[in-house]
Amino acid sequence: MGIRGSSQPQMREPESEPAIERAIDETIRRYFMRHEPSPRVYARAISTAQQPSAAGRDGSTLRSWIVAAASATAALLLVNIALHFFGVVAARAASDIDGRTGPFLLWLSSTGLARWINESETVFGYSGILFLHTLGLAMAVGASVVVDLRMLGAASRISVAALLPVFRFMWIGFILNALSGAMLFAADAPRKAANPLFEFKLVLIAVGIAVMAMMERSLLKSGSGAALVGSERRLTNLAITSLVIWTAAIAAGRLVAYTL
Amino acid sequence: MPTKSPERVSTPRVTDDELVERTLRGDSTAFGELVFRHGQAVYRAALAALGSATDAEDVMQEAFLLAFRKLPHFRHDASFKTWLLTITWRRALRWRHSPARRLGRLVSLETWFSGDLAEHRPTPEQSAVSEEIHRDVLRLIRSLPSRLRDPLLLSASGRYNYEELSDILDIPTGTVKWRVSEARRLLRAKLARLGHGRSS
Repeated sequence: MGIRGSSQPQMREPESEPAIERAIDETIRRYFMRHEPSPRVYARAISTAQQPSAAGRDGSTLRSWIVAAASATAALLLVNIALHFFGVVAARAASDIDGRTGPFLLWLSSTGLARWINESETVFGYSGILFLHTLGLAMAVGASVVVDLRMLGAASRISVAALLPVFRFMWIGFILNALSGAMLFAADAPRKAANPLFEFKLVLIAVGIAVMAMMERSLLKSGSGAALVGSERRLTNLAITSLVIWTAAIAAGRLVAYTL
Repeated sequence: MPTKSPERVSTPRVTDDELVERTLRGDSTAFGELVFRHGQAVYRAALAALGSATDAEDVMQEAFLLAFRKLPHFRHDASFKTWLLTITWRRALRWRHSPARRLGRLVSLETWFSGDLAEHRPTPEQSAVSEEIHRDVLRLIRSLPSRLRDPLLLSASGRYNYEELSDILDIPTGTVKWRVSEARRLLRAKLARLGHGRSS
């Protein structure tokens, strides 16, 4: 087998078949020899297995962050696409709003609270409640996306058990969102109730919350949550559903604002 | 999380089955010994499936975690090593097909089966084969379909026999042998087209 580097490669002597076989074996052997698990990996494998609740907390590598950032960018792109797609539909829906207003909605929009939200000039009025609504959205959906991406295999060194406290932030975010959302609805009940996109958004949120609850229940049922033996596929499906639902809910929420 | 190398208990004559029993009885050092015994085989299987050292480390950790949790259900139908490698292979394949990993590969600088072979000082044996042919072999292995590449890499890694590969890959032993042979034949033919060796 000749050594390459000649200025006339066409003149080289071809290797014999046994030499080619040796080259294949040698290449693979050298590749595996080049990559050996370090003692640190052994130590982590042992400690992770024996202390599942404390497992994998040092695993937030640069790669995981890049994956998370890329996923977030992809999600934003999807939202953008959805906004462009639904924009046409929303514009049509807005022109159909004809004030189908029931007595309850009229009463709701004339309450003192609704008038204060609409007329208050302080930062605690409409803008403050809108801020709380956005904050609640960020907490609920942000935490949900973290769990979803972990279920899909991102940042796999972070143990699932370590993610369980995140659900608390999800629920706090959801409660904040629901309360502030109810107040914003009261301020403009007749018009919001007449918008089909608003109903669509509420349905998506209901499904998103149901998926979130199912996921939390599954993780709690898996003992410490450190491993998900037997329920990986179900959790993967739930995570994909959750990502799609929250993306659509955010898009619908923004469109409601644009069409009122 | 401790990252220092844990102490290894010297248990040269203890079988895997005995270590499994001791682990189930709560002996924490016994599972550590199993990790030391089979860590390299687990890592190489993951590396063969994923072609990435970082991903292989992740899968190795997950495989041992799963094995520890599933240990009460280990029925001794196969050896502990085969059972462990089957878990590893399934985890690696799941990770290989994961959407998050595919997304991660787009932003990762690490390519499949990457490796600068020239960074090692070649032994006399290694010197027998030129670096150029190594690079071509690596590139061609990368282009093989996974059903041929997986058995080829696993068989050439030097850690598994054909029977173990049959269990890990969940295909008959004869099929494993045929796929390894077919992978080699394809590699030889492609290498011949690149000017290495004589076409068969």
